[in-house]
Amino acid sequence: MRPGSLSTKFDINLYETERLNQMVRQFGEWHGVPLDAVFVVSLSLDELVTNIVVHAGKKDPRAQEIVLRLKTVNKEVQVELEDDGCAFNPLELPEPDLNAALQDRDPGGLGIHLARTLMDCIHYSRVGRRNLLTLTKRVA
Amino acid sequence: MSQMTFQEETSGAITIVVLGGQVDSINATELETRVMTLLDGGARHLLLDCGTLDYINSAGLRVFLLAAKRLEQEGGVLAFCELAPNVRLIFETIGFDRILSLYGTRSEAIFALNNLQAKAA
Repeated sequence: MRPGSLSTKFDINLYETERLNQMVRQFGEWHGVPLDAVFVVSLSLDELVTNIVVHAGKKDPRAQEIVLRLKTVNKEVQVELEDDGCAFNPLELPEPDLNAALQDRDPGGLGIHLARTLMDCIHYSRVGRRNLLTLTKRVA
Repeated sequence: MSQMTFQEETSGAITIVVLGGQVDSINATELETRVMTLLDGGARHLLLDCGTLDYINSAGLRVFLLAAKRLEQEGGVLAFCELAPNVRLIFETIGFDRILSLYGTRSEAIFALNNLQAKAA
């Protein structure tokens, strides 16, 4: 993996998840990130951005933008995802019950569970008026 | 543009959908409409061949869960085959390997579904 970084902004719009996935793939290609790591980072960010977009419209102040920072350092892909909406910590959402029978499985919370499980580290903080998620994926 | 492909085939009483490309937050609604249309049309043994599926997020997985629940209630089954390693990883991460029927190859899946049907008949 080659060291490098990228920073970009997204609008609060579900269609942006498509551009997000393309950008993560492109970044991975440029910096020699293994494809399985690109897949996991891309999926996790897709889920987290979808959550921000969906929740951002519910309460004031509504988020106006999402900032993404990607970085390759040593053997890690480091990600920061920031938005300017009301305080919202997706990690506080209830975990899905993976042992429930089919009829009792709730479709909610799957996206956050994927991000939390597939990334090596995920952390939320409220910084001033912004939500900040930091994520790390270690690369073999 | 992310694209989803959805091709229907039949093998005896089994409806097969070859699902390919990408399923995301944008086109998951289309996936839901198409799958539910098949169920409304009477499909009870539905096999999703995911051999060319590169990407799916929780919006698409939700559709699978809804369809599997409905089919189970109606005495049918939703099965999957040919999952790429990354897609299988997603299924396993959210425990779908415990509640859905996953098979390796398409022929294994068809064999198993035919057996299920013979038992039900």
